[in-house]
Amino acid sequence: MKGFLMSLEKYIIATLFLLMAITIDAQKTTSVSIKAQATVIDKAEIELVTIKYLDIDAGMAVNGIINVSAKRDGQAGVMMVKGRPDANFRISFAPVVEIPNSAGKGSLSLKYEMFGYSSDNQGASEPIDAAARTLKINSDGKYYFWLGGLIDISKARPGKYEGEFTLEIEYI
Amino acid sequence: MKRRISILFFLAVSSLLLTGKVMGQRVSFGLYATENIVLTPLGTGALDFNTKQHILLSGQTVTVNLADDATAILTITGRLDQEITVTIDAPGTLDLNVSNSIPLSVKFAYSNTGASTDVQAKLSATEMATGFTSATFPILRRASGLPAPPPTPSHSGYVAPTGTAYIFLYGTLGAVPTNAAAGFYSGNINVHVSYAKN
Repeated sequence: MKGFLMSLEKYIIATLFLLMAITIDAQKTTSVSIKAQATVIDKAEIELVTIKYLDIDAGMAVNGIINVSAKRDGQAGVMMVKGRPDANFRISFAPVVEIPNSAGKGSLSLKYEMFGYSSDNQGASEPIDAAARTLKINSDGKYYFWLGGLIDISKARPGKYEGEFTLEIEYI
Repeated sequence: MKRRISILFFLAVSSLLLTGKVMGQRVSFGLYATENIVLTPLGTGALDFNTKQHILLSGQTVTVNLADDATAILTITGRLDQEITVTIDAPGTLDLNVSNSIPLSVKFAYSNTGASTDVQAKLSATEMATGFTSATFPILRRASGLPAPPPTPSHSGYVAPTGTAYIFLYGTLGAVPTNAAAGFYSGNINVHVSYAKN
């Protein structure tokens, strides 16, 4: 019994030392604070509306090349920005997108062409490159984009190709 | 915070089971506690969800994945012969004010392969499952072979070798409540690192 108690005493002493040591060590914890953040924009402040989708048909190909002019063709996609009147904004987008074949293997590379203007006048629109560029919403709170593209289907596998175009907009 | 206390208690019980070695471990704790761990945020030092999605509207959800540029990155410099325990203490929301909050779910990954850049480190990072807030690992993962010998006890003139591991923070913000006010939402993710008590 005495031996057991001595043994128990050793455990108790060891326990006390351990807890003390852990307490000391805990004080050596190194910490740093990382900021997590996001800015939310009111929906009413800016909105991107797709008026017409970019329609590409293999029958439009000439020598294996489909070319939809954003400035001249009726097949061009049309988008409109609705936002604060007279506000400056900039856009960015990926100028080249791989479009997967949803019915089989392979993909196609589509090079986008973007034109924009402050009113609904495709013929007067101006080219916009992918690099962020400052644009201005008109006094009615609108700005228009036309989307065309160049795509080579001469070596494409048979199938159905579907893609999407993402345009990012921010106020300046 | 509660989670860390329960881990410490578990370790204490486990050590008690190792009769005869208890005192040696106690001494070790004291020695290693004198070694500093240095945490250094890289880049902006922030997890900025607008880096992933510039325009964030009500109703939307943004997920920053490990592979994204928007991940927050930290380096941990410490002793190579010791394991470290990393604990992430993240808020459940990002807040604009008391009445406007967005749900936040933070994940983390670590890389201890001795990578020289954060880009290399990210490629070899180990992702922790959703909900895990703590991980224990060596600063430098052992590539192969037998386990390393016990750490060299500290003594006069001895400088323990150090190395660098990486921590990546990312996660999901949203969905932004439909009635959320526009503005700058923020919160602090606290990262705690200490030498593991093994």
